[in-house]
Amino acid sequence: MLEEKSKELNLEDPSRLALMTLLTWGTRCSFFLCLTGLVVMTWTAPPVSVGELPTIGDCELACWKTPGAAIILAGIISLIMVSAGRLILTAIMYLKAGDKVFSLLSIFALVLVLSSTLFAFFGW
Amino acid sequence: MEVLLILVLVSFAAGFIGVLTGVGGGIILIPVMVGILDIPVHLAIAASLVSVTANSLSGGSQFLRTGSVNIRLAILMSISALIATLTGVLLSKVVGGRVVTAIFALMILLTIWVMFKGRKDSFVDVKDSDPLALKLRLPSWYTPSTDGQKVEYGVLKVVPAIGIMAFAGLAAGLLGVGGGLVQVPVMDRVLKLPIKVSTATSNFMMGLSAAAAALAYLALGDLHPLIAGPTVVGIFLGSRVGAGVAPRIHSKHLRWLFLGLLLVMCAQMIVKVILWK
Repeated sequence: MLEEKSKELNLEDPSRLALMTLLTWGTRCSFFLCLTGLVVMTWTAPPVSVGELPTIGDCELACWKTPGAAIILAGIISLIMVSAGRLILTAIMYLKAGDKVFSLLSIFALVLVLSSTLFAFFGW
Repeated sequence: MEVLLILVLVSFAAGFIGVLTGVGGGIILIPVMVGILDIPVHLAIAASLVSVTANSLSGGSQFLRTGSVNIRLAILMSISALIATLTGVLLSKVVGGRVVTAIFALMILLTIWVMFKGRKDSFVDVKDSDPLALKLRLPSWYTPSTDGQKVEYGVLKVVPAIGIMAFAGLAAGLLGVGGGLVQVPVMDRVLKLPIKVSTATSNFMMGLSAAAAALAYLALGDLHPLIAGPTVVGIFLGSRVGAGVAPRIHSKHLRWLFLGLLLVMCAQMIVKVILWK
């Protein structure tokens, strides 16, 4: 079993390298998108005072039309997808190692993460 | 002052203190947003979840490189945590903002208790592992020091840990905090993992629960760009700076200052629950 870990830690393994690259660059790109959106919002959107914060309602589709908000949304979705994407890579990693149980568990966890989109039926 | 700037500064401070004290940014950020800035609690939770996801990913690569993450264990424990996370999101919509704020105040008290008790490193040998852990090949090794020497560790009480991990998931979905406050002590005291492995594995799990909950709040329309944008940027930068200066700061003094701050924020949230409009 400890040899199993050695296989997981093999830096030559392409799926493991892909996992580390996904985390490093995925996070950087998402952060850059959020930062860009924030800059655009600061420059172009009408300013909001602290006193208006308690009256901010739930974010209906219209609030994403504010300048910069769509870029922030892209950054947020990218962050969530990078996090969920890790499970695809672990599923491949375990499948290659012949471990079908953990490969299936990774896929099941991915399905659970993505099933949260079903909440859209309760909102908007 | 411009709201975006205030939110970036508040989130920066939350990320900075969260890294130095080891509790994450959400436990500081949400009380400040709800108690001081009067932001609706659901919007604060949704924004906090996105920043928890960002923090988990930014530290994830380093943890993978050093081999501290027990990925098999993280995936196994994530199943119950993810089911509980989705239940937590649903529950937060059912019970309403006042109850969520009250539960959050209790969560702060739990944080204070956990910080007072402290942690102890008490991992066990591979040969003493739970039969289920051996069957699932969960025992592993890690490198505690820079000399690259491998230390093997076992895993105990897998089934109870899976059950308790559901509470961490529930905390993520219902309160918007990473759940590390539950996960790390459970891995430390129930599964008997070394602290370094517990922290890294918890970080991996946290990102999954937070991503699922953030996606659910986005689908529900509770993720507001005006709040989430500056929060992600502020917390991300704050935790990076915090991780850089951490070795030069005396954590003992900071711990007491943080405990005082948490007590004030807890009192503020209780007052808000009592005077709820």
